[in-house]
Amino acid sequence: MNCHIFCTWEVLMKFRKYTSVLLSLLFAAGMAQTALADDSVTLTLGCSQSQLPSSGIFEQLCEEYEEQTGIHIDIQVTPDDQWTDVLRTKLSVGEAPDIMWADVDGLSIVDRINPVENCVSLADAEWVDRLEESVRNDLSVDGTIYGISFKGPKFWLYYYNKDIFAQYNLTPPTNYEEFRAICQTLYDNDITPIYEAVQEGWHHGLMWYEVAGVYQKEVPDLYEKLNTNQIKVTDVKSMLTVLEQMQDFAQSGFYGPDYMSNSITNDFGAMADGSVAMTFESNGWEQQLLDSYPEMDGKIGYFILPWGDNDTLGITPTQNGLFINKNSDHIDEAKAFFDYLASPEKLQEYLDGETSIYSVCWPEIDSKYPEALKEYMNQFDTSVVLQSGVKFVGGQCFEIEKLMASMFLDQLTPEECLQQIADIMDEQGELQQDPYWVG
Amino acid sequence: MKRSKIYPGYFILPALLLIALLYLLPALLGTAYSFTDWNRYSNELHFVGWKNYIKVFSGGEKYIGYIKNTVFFTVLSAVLKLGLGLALAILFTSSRIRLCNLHRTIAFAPQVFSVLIIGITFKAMLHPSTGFINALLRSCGLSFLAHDWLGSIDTAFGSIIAVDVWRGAGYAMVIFIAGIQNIPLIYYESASIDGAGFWAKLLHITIPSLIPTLTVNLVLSITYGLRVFDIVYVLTNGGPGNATDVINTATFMNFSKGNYAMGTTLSSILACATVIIALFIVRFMGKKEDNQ
Repeated sequence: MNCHIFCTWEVLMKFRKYTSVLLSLLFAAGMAQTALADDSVTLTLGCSQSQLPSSGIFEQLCEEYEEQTGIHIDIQVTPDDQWTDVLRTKLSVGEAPDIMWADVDGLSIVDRINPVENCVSLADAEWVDRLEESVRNDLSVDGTIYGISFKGPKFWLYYYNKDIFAQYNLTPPTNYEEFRAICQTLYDNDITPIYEAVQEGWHHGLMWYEVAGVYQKEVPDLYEKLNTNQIKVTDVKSMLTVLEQMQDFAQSGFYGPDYMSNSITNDFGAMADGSVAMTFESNGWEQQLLDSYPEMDGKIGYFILPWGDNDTLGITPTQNGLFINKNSDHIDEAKAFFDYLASPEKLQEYLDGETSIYSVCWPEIDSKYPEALKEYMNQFDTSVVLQSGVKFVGGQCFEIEKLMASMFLDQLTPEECLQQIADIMDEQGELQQDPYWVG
Repeated sequence: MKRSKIYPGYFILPALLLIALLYLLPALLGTAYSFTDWNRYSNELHFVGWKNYIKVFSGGEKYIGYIKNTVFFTVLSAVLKLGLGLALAILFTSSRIRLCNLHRTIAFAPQVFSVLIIGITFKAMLHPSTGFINALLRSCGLSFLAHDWLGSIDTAFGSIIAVDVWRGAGYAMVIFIAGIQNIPLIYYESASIDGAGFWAKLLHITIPSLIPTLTVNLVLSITYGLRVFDIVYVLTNGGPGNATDVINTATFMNFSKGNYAMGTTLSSILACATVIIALFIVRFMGKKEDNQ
């Protein structure tokens, strides 16, 4: 006997009078709820996972703001590797949230968010002159500021497990060869030398951007020459050398077997349980580790990136900013929210509550750098990292890092990878009608 | 048929108008834009001829790779979905299976889930160290089968296809069931009397009778496969590297870069290929049906 396919549908049809009444009641309830909700203001805020402070301090500030004003901040989180594309697409089709959290700097702000077209000018805000000048410039186009930022400058270090290093008589490296030898020793003793995470699509390429001091030593006035299209990245030999070193590490197994699927947020556990000896993280990471694993106190050391025999500390002056969508229905409310976040009390609360940063980009708030770290940093010259100093790199970083992932998997040679990075930069130069590219 | 019973031709005009406005016109406009340098950074538009198309077909391995991946995904997922869907349909229309409706519902259920939920869930399940699949394999002493399913070039695309087949086989099954239930039982009874076994009935009664249903399923699977985006984007975002990038992920990437002209070029190539392939399938399968 054949079975009836849609017995549920048959039951519904049998009782269609009651079904239609039920559906009508549900619809009416939904409409009523919508009508009630329309009285209150909700500000939508779009961001990526890693832009949100991991301590939850930003959500806490939003909740406090809601208690004071009744305005709800609806934080909409997108995975890191998708957010840049999603934000640009949403802006193109007019569906961007009220507030947009974007990774920007002075060179990529137009490419990432095009504030003149899409964002509200914040030039009249009270807090503008209190913001650090370099950050203010990075959030501006033609002298008009469009965004607000909070985090202080960022730099990246290799953090290592002192116990593991002591066990194998290892000391922090001062150049690439020493770094490689350390990793080989650890690998030979069945310890994953470095925790690397390619899944988010941004972490594994930072090594190449952060050692810009190496490239600048090879080519004086490098950034000016690259930004005026006098030379290409393929003309800088040390850039190729660093890519070759990165590929060597990946293919030698120094990142472990699962590095293509690892998430960077899981490096805390990996470092704490001793399964990896090193991780590549930003300033403030150690404090975050100790919050979750206090037993690691005193067991973590750090050193600057040794790729290409680098001896400078790469600095990212501006990390990201919040911008108000020009098409938002709640521009005044969004501006008031920014005023609230920029108040000295809330800035202090932000710094105190966020363990992953040591400073905010507001000179009136004192930093909380540990003395040991300050002493260590003072040994080195600093350099602005590649993605903040060179056009058409920061805005295309996810596409560039896909090429690097292909290089790790031997689908591209380092030369091909570097050539395609140059092609991406040229493509953007032509698209954006940069006078140094289109003449 | 009596002429008085045929509706006048102008009854179809409203539907044609809607299709023309909502489908045909945007497609033609998009194709027109593909011959320009349309981008986010300029309000001016310049005609560039076939430049974008030349870049796609002669721009090195990158774009050819996207097309290859799209074709590979389409063919493999269509074959697997239709094969599995047909097998499930035959199974769940058998009189020997109890609780048919429950089985059919379970098989169809993945189709109603959001692709985002499916992607997040399977990303977690397929994680090499913490995922359910590898944990199960290791607990059964099959560690040698554990892989970095979404992070390895060798297994990433296969994993995406497997998830897509899991999601879509139930939909194919439902359409096949409708077709099977329209086959007169007397054919099977006569075949049984003549001594035909299961495979003979399948090859000489079921499959020939299912040609129209197979055509529908094939067209739907092929057109879905050529237009695939969501499952690839959610699971791997085209990674590792560019290993699983397809035409629509490349289109999305170009739109997000602001290179709208290249995005519409890729979309136009895809639309053209989809229409040609769909027409070919319908005509070919239609001829087969006539021969039957």
